[in-house]
Amino acid sequence: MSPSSQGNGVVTFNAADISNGGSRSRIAPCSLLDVQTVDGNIYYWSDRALSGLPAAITVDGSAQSVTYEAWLMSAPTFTFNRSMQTDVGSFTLQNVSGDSISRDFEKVTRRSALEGAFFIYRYWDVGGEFAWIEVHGTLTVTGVPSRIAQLGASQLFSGQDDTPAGTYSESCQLIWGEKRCGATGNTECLYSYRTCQVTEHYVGILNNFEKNFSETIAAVPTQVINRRRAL
Amino acid sequence: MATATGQAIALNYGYCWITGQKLNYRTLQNTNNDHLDWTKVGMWALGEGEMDGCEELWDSGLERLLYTSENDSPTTFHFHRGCDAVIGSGTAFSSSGPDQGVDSFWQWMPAGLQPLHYHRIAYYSLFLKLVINNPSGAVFQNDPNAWAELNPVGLWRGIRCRLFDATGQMLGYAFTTNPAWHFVDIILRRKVMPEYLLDINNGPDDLTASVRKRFDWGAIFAAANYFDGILPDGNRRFEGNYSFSQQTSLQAVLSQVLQVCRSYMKERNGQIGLYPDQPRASVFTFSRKNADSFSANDSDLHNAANRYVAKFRDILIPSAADIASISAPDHTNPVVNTLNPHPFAAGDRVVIGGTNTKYDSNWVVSTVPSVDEAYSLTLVSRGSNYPSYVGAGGKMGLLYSRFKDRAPEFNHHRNQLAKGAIGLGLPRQRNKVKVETDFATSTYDQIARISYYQRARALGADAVPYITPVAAELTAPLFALDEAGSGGIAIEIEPGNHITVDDTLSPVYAGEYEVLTATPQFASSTPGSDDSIARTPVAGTMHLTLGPYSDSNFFDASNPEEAGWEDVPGSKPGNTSSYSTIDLQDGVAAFFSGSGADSSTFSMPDAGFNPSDLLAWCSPQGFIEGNAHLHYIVECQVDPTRLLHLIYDDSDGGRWNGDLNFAALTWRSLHSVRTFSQGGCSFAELTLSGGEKVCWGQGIIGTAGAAVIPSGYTAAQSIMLAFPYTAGDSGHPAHGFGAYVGTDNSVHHYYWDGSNNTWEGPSQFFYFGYLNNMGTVTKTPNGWISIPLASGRTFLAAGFSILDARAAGVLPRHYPATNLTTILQGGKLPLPPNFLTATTLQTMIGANSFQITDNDCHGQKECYVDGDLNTLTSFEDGEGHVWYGSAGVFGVICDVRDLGS
Repeated sequence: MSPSSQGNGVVTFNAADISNGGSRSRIAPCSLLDVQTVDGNIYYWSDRALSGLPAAITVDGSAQSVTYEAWLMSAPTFTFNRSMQTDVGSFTLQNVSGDSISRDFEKVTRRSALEGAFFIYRYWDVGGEFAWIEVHGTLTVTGVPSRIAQLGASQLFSGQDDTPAGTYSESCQLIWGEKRCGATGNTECLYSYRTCQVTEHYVGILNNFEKNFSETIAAVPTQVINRRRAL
Repeated sequence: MATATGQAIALNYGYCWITGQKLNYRTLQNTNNDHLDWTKVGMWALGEGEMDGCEELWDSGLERLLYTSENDSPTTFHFHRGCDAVIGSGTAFSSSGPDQGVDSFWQWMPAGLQPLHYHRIAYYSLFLKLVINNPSGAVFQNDPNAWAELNPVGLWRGIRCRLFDATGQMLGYAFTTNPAWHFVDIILRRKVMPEYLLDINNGPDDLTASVRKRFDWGAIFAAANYFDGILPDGNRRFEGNYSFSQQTSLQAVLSQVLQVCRSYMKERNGQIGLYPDQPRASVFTFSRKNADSFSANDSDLHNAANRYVAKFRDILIPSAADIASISAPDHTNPVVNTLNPHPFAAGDRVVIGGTNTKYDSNWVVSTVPSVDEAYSLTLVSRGSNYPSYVGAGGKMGLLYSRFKDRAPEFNHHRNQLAKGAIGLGLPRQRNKVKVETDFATSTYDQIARISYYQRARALGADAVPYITPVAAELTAPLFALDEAGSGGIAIEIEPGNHITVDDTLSPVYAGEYEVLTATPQFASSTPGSDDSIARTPVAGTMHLTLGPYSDSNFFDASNPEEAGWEDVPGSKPGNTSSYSTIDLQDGVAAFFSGSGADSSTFSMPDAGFNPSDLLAWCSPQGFIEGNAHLHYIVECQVDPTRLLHLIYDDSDGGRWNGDLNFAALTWRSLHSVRTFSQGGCSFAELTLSGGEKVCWGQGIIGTAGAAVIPSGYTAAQSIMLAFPYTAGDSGHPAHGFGAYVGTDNSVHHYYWDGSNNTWEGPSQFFYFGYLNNMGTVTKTPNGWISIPLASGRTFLAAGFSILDARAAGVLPRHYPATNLTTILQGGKLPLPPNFLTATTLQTMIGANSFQITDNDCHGQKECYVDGDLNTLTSFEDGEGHVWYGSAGVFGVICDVRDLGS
């Protein structure tokens, strides 16, 4: 049973889950970390070996049960804000399995970049089979000391992206072959008008014209006219 | 020559004051045509599409208002909304907007310049030859010094946004000033779904399923409704107007949006939510029993600002004069007397507001006395339909003064004193610590309410004794139970939640708090020294950072006396709150009405309604004296671009104009609106909240043709009106005109000359009907149809034929039988029982009869419902003779009852 949002910022669980939550007679919740690298590889890590659990990330989005490997050395700590501060956390993974030449974690990082990998973390109630807390975001490798690996985590909403995204440029601002571009060929353009494959969709300006007599550049007033104002 | 290189492609939301980045500009010369030489051709990029349109375009150098709509002059002014250019459309110079074809003004650019579509960029182009101000002597077409460079700047309606319901279904796509939809749009563009098609007719792609799951639609929809709430002063609670023209971070952009709507965002379970800071109930109580630790402090106050400087550009017009009176004797230019000397000059565009009469509108100053301190001026007459005298009250300002930079300050005096220097024998000083907040474009009222909130939230009430607010840290077991018995547990607590600390936990600091940060510590495992993972059955703790909470921090009113100056009431652009929303099964409709001059464009409600979802009607309201006898109306219609037209004709080459009434229905809905055509008319059937179906229709009916009643509806459950559309000359001068739908359902638009000559023409047809399919429709004793809505409000509609009270009960000779509820005495539109204030009343009116006199009429003297609900219908001959008539009036109310029933 998943928690529900009432649309007013309050998360609620059902009564049975709540009454069981703090019970010491139940299995303590564990941490599940699903990671999908930029290349598409998916890893399932936990703080204890568990099998037959529903994955949060699967290749095709279908419901699948998977095995979680006990690589997660400690549960992360997330700080949730009500300000524009991005919610962040960190994970500590084991870096001892494998052999002395190539540890398993290092194999992972060599196989595909963990930088920017998509993750879903769940604080999982094993008995009730639901997540008390679920966090989506991206990972960054903050350090790989000898026996552990440290991953930083930030939620999907990370606000440092340039906004507005585009500028008026002689280079097209679109991404070749995407919907806004519309190109359907096999060869990526060079983002110039001359190499544009869908010229109607070229997003840029061609500044190759200078006129041969003077003009006044538009002088937009920053102060508007207020000749007199009644108090 | 372009000057835009390297500049950001701006994101503009709400109403924005923009010149834009110059894309191309050229002065024509040596064209072998003196009328073309020295014409300026230019294109300016406004920002990312799809923008909505133009409210005003000025030339800042000439201080001249050029246009008031993007549709005003297709030969000189083009606006391209910034949709997808059509692949394969080529580079023919064919477009005059709003599409993204290559602009036709490219034909005037040098041949070597590559024509571009400016795909997805909203831009405008001008082809103008503007004479300079105050030319010395005669102006010659071939004189280069007589023609000004173009310095355009405009009041633009910004980006159209997708509009959603509480489940994330996309109900509409329209221009809106609601910050909730700006918030969603920015995240979609920049983060979640930047790639989508944007068709000029069909709008943007809907969200994919995975994108839809990324938002907490319940929270966002609730926030949007909260922002749209109408406050007691008639304004919506929070509106957003901002132009992001410099590249910054997404965080900064969203901070700006959240700032103006007193809100915060959260991302939980992979969903982004938007939450207004508003009064809310405590969700959790901590006591000594369920909390591990609690420590209070006021450390945040040490460095806190106590002087809040609210910087914004005022979207309202600053008042420059108080009105003492307005008088307009028969057909003369209105004379305005002011309480103080005024600053206006002949030719100025001015705004009048607060008279609560038809004078509340935009005007042009005609004359000003040649004295040092002028207390009077005349306005250019707009017709016969303005009161002959209005007493003191109301304000007046310059239209070009909109977007004045303002920076009022909101001080916390007690905190300033608490921080001030003091010494033995020295009085305590005030220490002001400043913080500036940028509210972009807003109103004084909105920024004052938010500044009050910021001040109170950070510093507490500015009162004696000054009690500083408390911040605190609290730790509790992750699964601690709510002491108030709600069954809630600590792990549920979210930032922004209101919680309570009881006096068993802290006798001194017991009270109400807001959660600022929540840090769950999942102590379920730890690294062991032997590389093992050590687990523990203890689930962990919840650490909370708390700030003070008070219901009284959320202000819905400001104190206008604090403002440095007053604004002209009602001078916001567009239509911010003058409409009646109608709750649908999914979505909302809006019925709105008003008046406008010939060739003016009426505004859509700016809470998010697309003009492509529109039915509209219009009727003559007045006329500008043409000193000619009316033979027929050439044109009375509202075109698809919302442009109003009213042209009278005397059959002898004389044509003149006048003001019009208009009404319109618009909507946003996925399933609750069925549009269809029947008998040449267009209909929109609405399924109201609760399930009842009602239907509006519009069309042109030929001379004395039959009304079109949509299938399934009956005449008995319909309200039908008619308004003039066009007519031909009969060779006779008219003594008046009217339009109506008779009891035989025939539609008439007729004239009569007093000599038994009558003639008719095609009519605009207005249809409203209801099905009573749920059996909940009732009728009030005074003729209103009443439908209770599941939303808790009541929808009411009625049609009346009302005789002007000044007709003294003398029935016009051709008083029509219309099936409308007849009111022959009093001339007032009756309100339904329990709705005495009728704040959501919207009406549509058109003359349906007139008294016969011996005078030829020059036009409709007046036809409208005034602020006291008097229905005024009269005609005149331009020589002081006035006679009266009746009007068909349609009314809509959708509101909660304002009296107990």
